[in-house]
Amino acid sequence: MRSQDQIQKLINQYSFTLDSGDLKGFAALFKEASWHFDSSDPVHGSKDLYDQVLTRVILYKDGTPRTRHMSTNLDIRVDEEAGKAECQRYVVVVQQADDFPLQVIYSGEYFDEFIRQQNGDWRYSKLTIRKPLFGDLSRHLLSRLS
Amino acid sequence: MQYSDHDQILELLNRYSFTLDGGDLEGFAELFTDGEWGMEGSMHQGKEALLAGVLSTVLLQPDGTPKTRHISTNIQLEIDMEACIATCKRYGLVIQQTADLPLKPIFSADYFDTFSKVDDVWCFKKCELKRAFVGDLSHLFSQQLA
Repeated sequence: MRSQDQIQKLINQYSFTLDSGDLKGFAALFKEASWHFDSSDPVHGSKDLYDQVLTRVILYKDGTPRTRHMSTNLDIRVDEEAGKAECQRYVVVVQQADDFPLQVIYSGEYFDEFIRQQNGDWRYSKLTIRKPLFGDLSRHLLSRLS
Repeated sequence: MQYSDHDQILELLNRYSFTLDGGDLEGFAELFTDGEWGMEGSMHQGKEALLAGVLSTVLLQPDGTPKTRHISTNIQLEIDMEACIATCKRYGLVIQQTADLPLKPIFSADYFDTFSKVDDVWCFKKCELKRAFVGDLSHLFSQQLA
């Protein structure tokens, strides 16, 4: 698989794991990576990401957060020689729950950074979320990210 | 210009939205001449069944369109060149604005597409919608979909 395709797959995994309620799978993407939300302290590795961020995610009867993290405007740049890649993209999150009509609850600018491993596979090294736009997150998170 | 298999399939995904949102319901149905479309557990096989079962209930506004946009994101496309089969998972979000309805998301789902290549041309075999978030569809359909 081309580097570009592998990276796009990782970015899709970010949404597919989270939105299907596979929080462990989501955290695993950041095994050797850090997750930065705006100006808050960065979170390093799967365990901290799970404990500090993902435990706040509200899961519904179907085992999912009833969200879709939709990625658009993907701008992927691969430096094959350096074994590094980055992507800038927009994210819009929609949600619909029992007593909560379908709506846009959040949007941000996402900056993904990737490293190519010894075996040739790419992995996340860092994700930075900037310029968040907040809608009604009361049905998604138990406490607001700061 | 020579289009890659990947590009040809993305073109089909775009035609899915462009025909529907352009009010070309016949053109949309034609995409499923040899395919099936539907919500999980309620599939419509072939063009005529799709026109009679679903598209006949689509409300067209004075400009001849449903005033919707079917937005596809997070496209994860896997092509098996040997078997001439491709599968795709993607997110769909439908937004709508009419004279009586302010702009808002009215529907979202996980879309699972299957394509096959026959006589060197890719075509839809299946498009199945799962985990639907249903908003206000009263301006898109004249009756509730079964």
